[in-house]
Amino acid sequence: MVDEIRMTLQTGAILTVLLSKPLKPRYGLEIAKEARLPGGTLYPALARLEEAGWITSEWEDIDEAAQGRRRRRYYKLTGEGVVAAQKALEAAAQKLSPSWLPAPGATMGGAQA
Amino acid sequence: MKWFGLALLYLGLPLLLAEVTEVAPWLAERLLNSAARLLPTRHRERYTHEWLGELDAVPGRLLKLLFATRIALRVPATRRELQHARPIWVIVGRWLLESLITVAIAVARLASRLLGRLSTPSFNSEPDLRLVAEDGSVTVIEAKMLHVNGTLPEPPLSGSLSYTTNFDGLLSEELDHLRDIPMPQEGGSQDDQGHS
Repeated sequence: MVDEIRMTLQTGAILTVLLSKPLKPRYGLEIAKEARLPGGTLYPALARLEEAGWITSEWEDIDEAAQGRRRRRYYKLTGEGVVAAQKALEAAAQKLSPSWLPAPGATMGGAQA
Repeated sequence: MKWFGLALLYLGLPLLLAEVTEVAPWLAERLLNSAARLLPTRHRERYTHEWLGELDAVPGRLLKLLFATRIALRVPATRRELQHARPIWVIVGRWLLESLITVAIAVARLASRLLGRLSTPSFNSEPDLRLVAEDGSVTVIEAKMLHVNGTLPEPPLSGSLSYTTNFDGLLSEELDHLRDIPMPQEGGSQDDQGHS
């Protein structure tokens, strides 16, 4: 069972990136680049999602000396997080789209000639 | 003098930039270490390593410094999320709202109690009127029901009746409507005989 979270634009962008390939773990900078977010805003949102159980993270298993860089922390959605993220993004999309706009795929005045 | 200033700028600026660029990665690491120290204790080590790991992936020395600065500026927000803490204005606002609701409920309860006392008499929970017919059947009428409904159930009016009552006088008017049943004598509970 995952907790409810406060949905922000940053959180929505992160969830969209993670949902695009739910099984692929990504590190922070990678998520930030794909979501087009500045690095600073990423970590509060990631911390919120992780505390709520939507995402999980684990250390990269590498030999730091051989790789010539320090290990990274990789994030991915949990099973429940995938479901919760899809629902949250759908709800957010409905809130953001004006009610007077026709739904995607709908035709004006009913059937198309 | 003007030429001297321009020459200093021309030579000094690149030198300064080169120096800053040189120390930028070191400065970025120091900045991230300091930023992580502002986080809750159990998260410090994890975020220090995580941010330093990310720093290695940032290309360019000055960009590393920019990356570290951005993270450091957002540390208060990260700290709030990790502590499950809300901004102070949310905490104060919530406290004020809860206090207002509590006071409003208390006032409403007090007013309801006062108005209730003014408008309705207190009743005993005991049955107020107990009618016993000749054949032994018993009809119990509670003062509360008597008052609320304003009507009385039909008592067994045939034969002789006995009753016990603990009316304190508040319901004497209602009791007057009870046809053919003698009113209780002055002095509270008693047994008496009546006829319809």
